[in-house]
Amino acid sequence: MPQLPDFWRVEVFHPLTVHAPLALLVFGTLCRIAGQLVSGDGRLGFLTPAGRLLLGVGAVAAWAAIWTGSLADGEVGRTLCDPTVAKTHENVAWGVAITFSCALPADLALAILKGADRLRRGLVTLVLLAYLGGAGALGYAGHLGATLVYQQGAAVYHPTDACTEFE
Amino acid sequence: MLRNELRRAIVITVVLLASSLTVVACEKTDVVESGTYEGTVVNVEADKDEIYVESDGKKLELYFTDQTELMKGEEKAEFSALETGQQVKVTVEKKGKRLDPKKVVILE
Repeated sequence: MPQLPDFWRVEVFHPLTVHAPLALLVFGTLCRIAGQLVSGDGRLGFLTPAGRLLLGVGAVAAWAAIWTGSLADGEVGRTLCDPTVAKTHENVAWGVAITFSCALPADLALAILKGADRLRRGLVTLVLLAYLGGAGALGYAGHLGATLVYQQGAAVYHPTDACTEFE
Repeated sequence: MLRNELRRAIVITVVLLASSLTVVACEKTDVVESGTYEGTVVNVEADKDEIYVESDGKKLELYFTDQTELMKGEEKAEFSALETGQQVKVTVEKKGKRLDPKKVVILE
């Protein structure tokens, strides 16, 4: 009789870890951009530091997701009908993690360094564009990840027709 | 002094962001038809039993399976015998867009 595989397979740790950076980086980007549009002294002044906090935690979480993704790739890569999707998914994820990891220190530099208005405006624009581009790329990486699961069944167990392993 | 620091921050940010795009672009792999190809091992991922082989300008991603035969010359070899830079001859079977390595021969 077939047996249900252990749930805590190596490849399961990737979906467990990947959703945190998805939420943190997307909402962090929205907060940060909104914070740039409002007064820092007003009631909505919390948006910029909140955005930076979400992005900081999200960037760390993104690297954890990349690590678990690599582990999952080792387990399921050879079972996929189109592993080029997994490769693109991995490449874009790396690009996202690097983008946010570079943009955030530059953003923090803005918080610390005052004056030099023209340069500050230039750096703010660069940072916000990086966040927006990173968030867009993150959405694409997420879409590719979803196709791996729902179009190719990556890491998904397929029960027998008679469901005997559940008896 | 402050302007210099901000300029430095801008330059570093741009360089590092550009590097992220380079990382994304460099790792593209290719799919070829079933057959035998000669090329160079450009990367070995021992923890995944996976190698990347460059052949005729194409980068092949090959996950070893239980059926993959690895030879060094005329003798059977272990996966640990594979190293970056080796010349290899690979026989692959294309399934969908996946290349299953049937046989890998280390030529040097």
